[in-house]
Amino acid sequence: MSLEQFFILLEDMFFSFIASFGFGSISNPPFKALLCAGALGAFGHSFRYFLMNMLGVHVVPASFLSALCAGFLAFFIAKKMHTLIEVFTFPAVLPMVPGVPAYNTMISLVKFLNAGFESGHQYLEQVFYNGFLALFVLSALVLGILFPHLMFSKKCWQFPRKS
Amino acid sequence: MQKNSAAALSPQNQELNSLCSRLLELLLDITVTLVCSGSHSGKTIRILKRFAKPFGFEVYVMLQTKSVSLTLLYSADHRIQQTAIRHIPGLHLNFYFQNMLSRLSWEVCDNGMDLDRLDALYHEIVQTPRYSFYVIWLTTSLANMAFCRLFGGDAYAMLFVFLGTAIACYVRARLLRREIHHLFVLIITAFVSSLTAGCTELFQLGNTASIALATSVLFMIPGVPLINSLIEILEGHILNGLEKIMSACTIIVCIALGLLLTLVILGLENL
Repeated sequence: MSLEQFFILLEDMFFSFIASFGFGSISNPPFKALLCAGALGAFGHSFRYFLMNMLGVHVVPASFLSALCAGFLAFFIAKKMHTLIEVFTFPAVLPMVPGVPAYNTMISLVKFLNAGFESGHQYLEQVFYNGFLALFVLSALVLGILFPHLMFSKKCWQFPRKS
Repeated sequence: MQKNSAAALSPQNQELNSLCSRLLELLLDITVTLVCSGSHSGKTIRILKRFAKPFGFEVYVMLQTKSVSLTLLYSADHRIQQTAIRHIPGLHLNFYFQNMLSRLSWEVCDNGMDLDRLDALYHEIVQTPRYSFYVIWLTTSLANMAFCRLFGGDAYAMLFVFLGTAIACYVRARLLRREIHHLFVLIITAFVSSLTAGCTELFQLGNTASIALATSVLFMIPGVPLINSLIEILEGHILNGLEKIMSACTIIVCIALGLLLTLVILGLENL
């Protein structure tokens, strides 16, 4: 990894930290937990960026892997801080939500309806491609983040216990 | 019925009866707080069971979208049983409440607690103020701006997304105070936010107008209910999960409608 790529990653981390922190603050978690959630979000997004742009992994498995790593990190942080694990996992995936594909789906759909059936079929292909991309990325994120929840559910419930 | 009223005559049972009704009231309050602050059904029920156990009661919960019904049953010999039902107001996410109530429930379950003290501690938790509106306003706008950057927007797109989010948050807070239907508020908010971001397209600033438009409405996506609904379906609370998915989809459709309005005004061909 060259120095330039390292700085790109750092920049990515910075902005995804702000995104996770800001969106996390809407749900009013304790401040310390909010900072950790922001850091997790930064880790998740920059890890996905690393996987996609430097190792050439496809966006769906990259999303799944980074959500999984963020989920397991959240597991350990929640255990340490005696907090519910949701406080960390929910804001951590927010920067990875596939907003642009979802938007493109809608735009292409409207364009298809506008152009009519005869001349608009190339828009329909875009609808399907973008729609399924958004759906798969979203499912990969949620599955990755829920994996520790479901695998160690009994342990996760006991995190807020103080004894 | 007859058996209950006869049993209620004895002083010991009367005492138990009043304990039961007080505990029931408190547990209903706790349930409403938990559900409103965005806890999924499984977690809510687990927390309630932990609260009721050290007092010698079993709790049975029927949790629906708009109402909750609790039944308390005296575990030892089932001689006391009370049921009550309460309405649930709208969702207002608050992880602090969830976290503290979960912690409190473990404390009660492990060490036991006096009902008066539990009541006091509960009210102490509930009265903790949220972050101020202005802080949330600033962080949300900054977060959406950072989002725009992550999707590849340039400086103009970032600036207008920041402005759009800030204006939209303000408009939403003002409209919600007037008790307008929340879905209608969402359409207007999405319209305002995307129109502001659309200024990049209108005045030809930068060349990532479509990214600005796409990210300007993302701060309204109901992420927590969406994830919660999946957890509920996986844990077997299928109806509650489907309801949450449906309501989240309604919200997303409303956001899309607001965005569509902007696109019609700006002209679709340019995008």
